Amino acid sequence: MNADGASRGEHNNSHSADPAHRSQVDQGGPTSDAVSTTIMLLRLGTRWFGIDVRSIEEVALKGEVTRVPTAPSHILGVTTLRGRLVTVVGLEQMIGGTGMHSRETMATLPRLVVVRDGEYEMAVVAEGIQGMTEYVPSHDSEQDPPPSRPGFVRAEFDWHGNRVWLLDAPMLIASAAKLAGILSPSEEVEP
Amino acid sequence: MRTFGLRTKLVFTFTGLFLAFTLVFAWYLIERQGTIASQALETRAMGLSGILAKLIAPAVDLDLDKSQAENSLAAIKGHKDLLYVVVLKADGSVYLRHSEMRLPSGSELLENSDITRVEQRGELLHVLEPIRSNGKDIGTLAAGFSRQSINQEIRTSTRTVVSFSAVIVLIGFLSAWVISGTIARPMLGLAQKLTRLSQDLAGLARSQETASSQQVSAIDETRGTMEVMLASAQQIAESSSAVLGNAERTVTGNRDVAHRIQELNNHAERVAEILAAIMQVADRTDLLALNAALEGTKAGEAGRGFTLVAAEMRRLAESVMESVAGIRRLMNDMRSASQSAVQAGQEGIALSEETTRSARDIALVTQQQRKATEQVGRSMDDMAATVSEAMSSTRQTASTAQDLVHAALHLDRLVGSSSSHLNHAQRALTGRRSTPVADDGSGDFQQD
Repeated sequence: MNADGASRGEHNNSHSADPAHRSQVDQGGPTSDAVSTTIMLLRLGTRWFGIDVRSIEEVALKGEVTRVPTAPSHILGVTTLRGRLVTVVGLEQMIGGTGMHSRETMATLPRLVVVRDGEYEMAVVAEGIQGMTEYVPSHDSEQDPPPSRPGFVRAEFDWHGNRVWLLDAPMLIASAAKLAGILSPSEEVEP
Repeated sequence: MRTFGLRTKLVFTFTGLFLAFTLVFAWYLIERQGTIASQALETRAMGLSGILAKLIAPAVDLDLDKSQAENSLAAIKGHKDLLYVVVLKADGSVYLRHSEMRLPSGSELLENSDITRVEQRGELLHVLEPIRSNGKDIGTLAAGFSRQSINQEIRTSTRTVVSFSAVIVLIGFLSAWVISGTIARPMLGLAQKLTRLSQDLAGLARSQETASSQQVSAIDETRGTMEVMLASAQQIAESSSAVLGNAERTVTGNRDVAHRIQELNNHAERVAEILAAIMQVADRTDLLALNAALEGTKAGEAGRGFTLVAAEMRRLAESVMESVAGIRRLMNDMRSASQSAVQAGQEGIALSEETTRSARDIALVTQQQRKATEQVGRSMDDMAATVSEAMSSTRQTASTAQDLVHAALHLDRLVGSSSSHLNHAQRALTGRRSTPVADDGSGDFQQD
């Protein structure tokens, strides 16, 4: 499957998620029974993130975000999408916010990537969306996560010289809810 | 011909006058002394002869002895001037002869006389005194007196007068020397001063005449320059009028250009708005394509074609956004260029307005300059007339100065100045340059 944003301006080469490229993404080497996952690559500042497309409800234009009083800093506020009230979360506040500032002018307007876990949905701010690509999980990428990596980052890999954190959408929603002091669906599901 | 100075002349004159006066006075005194002495001698001789005639008259009348008669003459013996006494009778015979000194023969005057007669013969004074007795002439007394004592007195008086005259002449000479010094020295100084002043005046007159000539030449040159300046001012006025017209047209053109550029900026703003709209549409298109690709991916194999179309749509939207970004960059460049052009146009307008003002000022200044040049020309004419009058006055002054130098020379010559001073005055009079002559040894200057 090809990345639909392979020819974007901020990356002057074609980044394809074809099988040839897939071996580059999976540096740890695919396992024999590995199943590829289609992920969406998004950028926030200088960091790249990947989210499973099955967890993505939609990508919307970032409109007006209303700040919620007494909300923690990672909760940027709420916005309305097609009549729904969606919580907007800032990834940079959740992971510490270092090195997240933009280093180039954005070609597009900021996006909101709406992720869903059951009945819960949450919007993540992205400054740019590269497109979609195929991710084949490797053994090294999912084993022995470094202590500094947040729990909602399922794996990390290199993509065209950029380090990409693969986000686990349910864990991301749960972490955001936990940081906000409320129970998340994942915590309700887990014993 | 050697000329004498005033002092010498005064000394000579005063000394001559004193000498003449002294000579006249001396001559008068001597003559007077001689006359008085002669008269005194005659009176004395006549008186003595009369006394002797009366004393000897009885002896002659009575024809007494000669010894008795000589007793009558004893009273006159030893008289210093009496040389001889001869008594003649009426018949002419010598009754008595007495001689104090040896006399040459024939020197005695022996003749009867009925009156008293005095005759002068050389150094002798002969007196004939008639001898009367009872009113009748009985004889004649002839007595001879010497004039030596008189001459001796005259010589003594002459020496005294001459000595006195010499003293007077010497005093007169000294007085003339002193007085002439007190008179001639200031006059000499005044004459030299007058000569120098007249020389200076003549030199000043020549210098002023030369300066006036140069001034006339300068005025002519200035007048020519003024005429050239007048022509230049006229030309500048015409050029400034042309510059003024060009500057006004430039101002109008620059304002038109600025107005057009402002319109261009307005169009550019409109284009920017359209570009913003296109950008927004492209962004929405990208977003829609992204969501379409997302949905196609979620649909699996069934949505693969949809995903490809969505990807192409995203690529088109990105291409549009890149083009818009490029157009924005161009627009920004064009805006900067137009702003620079507007600024340059405004500066051009300001410069043109400044040029207009400068051209107007130049025209005004040129007009004033032309008037001033004309005024200067008239002033030059007046000045030329004044300088011409001054030159005439200067020539008259020079002529007067030359006359004055002549008079000063004459006065100097009269006073008796030195020859070098006269030479200087001569050169001042002629006004010619002089060079020293080394071989004459006098140090005087000789005319070229």
